[in-house]
Amino acid sequence: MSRSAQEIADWMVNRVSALTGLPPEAVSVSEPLLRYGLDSVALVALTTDLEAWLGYRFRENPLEEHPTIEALARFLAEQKMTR
Amino acid sequence: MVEVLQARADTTPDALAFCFLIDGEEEGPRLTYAGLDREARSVAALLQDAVGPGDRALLLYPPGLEFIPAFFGCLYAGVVPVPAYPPRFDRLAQSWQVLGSIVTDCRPAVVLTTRGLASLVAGIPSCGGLRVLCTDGLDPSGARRWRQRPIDPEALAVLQYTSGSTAAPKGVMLTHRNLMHNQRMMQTALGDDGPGLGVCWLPLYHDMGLMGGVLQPVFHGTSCVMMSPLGLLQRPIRWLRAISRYRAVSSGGPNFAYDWCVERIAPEERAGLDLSSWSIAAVGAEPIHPVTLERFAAAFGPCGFRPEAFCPGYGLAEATLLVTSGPRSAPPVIRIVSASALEQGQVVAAAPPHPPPLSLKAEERREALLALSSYGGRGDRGKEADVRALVGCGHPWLGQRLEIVNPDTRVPCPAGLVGEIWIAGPSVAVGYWNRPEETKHTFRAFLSNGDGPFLRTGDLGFVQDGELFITGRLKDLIVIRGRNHYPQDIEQTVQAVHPGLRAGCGAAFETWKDGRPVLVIVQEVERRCRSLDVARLVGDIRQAVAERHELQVHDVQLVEYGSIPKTSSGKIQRHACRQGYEQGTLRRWKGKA
Repeated sequence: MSRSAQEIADWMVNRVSALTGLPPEAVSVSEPLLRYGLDSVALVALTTDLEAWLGYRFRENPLEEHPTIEALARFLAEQKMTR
Repeated sequence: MVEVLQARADTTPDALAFCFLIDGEEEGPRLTYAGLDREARSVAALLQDAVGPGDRALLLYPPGLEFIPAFFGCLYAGVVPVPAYPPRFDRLAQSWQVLGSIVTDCRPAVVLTTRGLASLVAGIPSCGGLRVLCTDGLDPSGARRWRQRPIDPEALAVLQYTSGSTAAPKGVMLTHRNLMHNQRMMQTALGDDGPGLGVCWLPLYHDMGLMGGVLQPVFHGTSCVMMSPLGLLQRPIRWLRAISRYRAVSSGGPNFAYDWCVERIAPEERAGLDLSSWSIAAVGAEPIHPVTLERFAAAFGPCGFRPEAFCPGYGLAEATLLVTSGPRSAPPVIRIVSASALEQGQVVAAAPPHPPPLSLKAEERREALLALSSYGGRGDRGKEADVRALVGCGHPWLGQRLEIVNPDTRVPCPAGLVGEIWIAGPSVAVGYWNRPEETKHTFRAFLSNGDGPFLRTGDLGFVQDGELFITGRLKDLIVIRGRNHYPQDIEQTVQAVHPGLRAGCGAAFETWKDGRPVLVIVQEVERRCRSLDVARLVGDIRQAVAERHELQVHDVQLVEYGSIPKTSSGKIQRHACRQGYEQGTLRRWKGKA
């Protein structure tokens, strides 16, 4: 199933909100995720949940190249289309 | 340990010692006892050509089996292995800093690693000029060149860096006698059946992974299935699947690993698991929560997990690993005490005096405990429920002594009072490498009547009916997920974020939130600072702490100039900061109009 950039971004905002305890409106899509102080365990949890939700596994951690929700969502949405 | 491994290679050469699960799932490399002995000889021969006995060798290995022959190879050659956290490609600067402080401290003669990591290791600034040897894929004929030398049991066997701040790392000096005594202690606790087949996902440079995952199987001649820590973090089901698939008997981890399983394994995934073989589920390396044990037992009881398999223990690297544990197959002991009395250092049973019995249905029991203890954490309890639930960590074994001592008077505490845990016995390490002052303070403590020496653990607890209960820490060390963090390091990181944050006037401490230890920062703002973008600054602080310490900051509170509690000599009173935070009495910074 293919997801739009908007759907991915919404999903990410909700997950980051759940992981940090911040309200969803406080999670900005244009700030690097590291700004929310997610530690390595939380980042692993986030990427594995994202894989499960998208239904495929990443070869490399996409957060390294695309550190904001906006960039990540755009990247993943395009990935899916070119597959 | 050298003789033990050689004996295994002679008597059971073809028995499987270790195998590694790639991605935590697919069976990968294997080592038999003869294979491990041969590879260790090859490494030892290589080392004997390159360095002298007593020299240190820094061990930098990715998850896998390569660490194991390298470690034994050092022992075979009389070289002191220094296990260290391997450099991470994504956080090189941070890896380098930690490694650099260890290299400066112990001055290794050589770095042992794999071909895969060698180029990275050669690029580490602090390792410049150090000889790098790759121990994977060695020519097996090299093993013949190894010359066995007699081993003095009192000689330094391992340098274990687990504690100390980045500025002043502390290498715990373990002798061959320490290693053997701790293995014998675990053996006595386990009983005649031994550990059986083990599953280990713990990092091997960590004391629990090294002593429990690597040395214990060799000591008993049993097998251990290894997987990477990341494998567990990504999908904790892999840990339980490995236990189920190999019918493992012993496996363990810190408290958080059990929580992680409950949170991140969906009920439908649990269906295929058979955990009935698992009879030693070790829990340790960080505070243990009764509710974690309850939740895990309730979630995986239907898969055959038995609550009496839980084996809570207490240990620290300064005592090799294990200090206390219960006997095999005894259910965990849980005590419910008055939280307010405990804050005053007194142990007062809270009503009801005993927790609901384990025979109760898991779900009912969990509800009862939850209601009772509100997760058993301080700072998180309801005002009306003045209770704290504690898990017993067993008792010492094989002639080790444990005393609960008043740290100020150095007099043993009478029953019913909390004090610092002091230990003496053959598992206590020799001291910290090259740190005579810290060694004297920590390892040469004497009671007021001159009895000693004892190891001061810095942990607080009490003994009731022969069972040790840990209640907190005397020192401000922050222990999250089995890793030690020094508040001073975190505070420095915070204060470097912005010039408006007053140097030397911040506190990093743990508090409890939903039954977990979480990190809180309280930081003073400079008087001349009139306006700050607080949201941005808090983001900067979270990012800096996550990058440098791999810790998630739960909350940051900026407070008024001069409002952080300090001693008359100017030392930060972190405990008082924590109380102020928990009670909401800190003077929060509001900025200037």
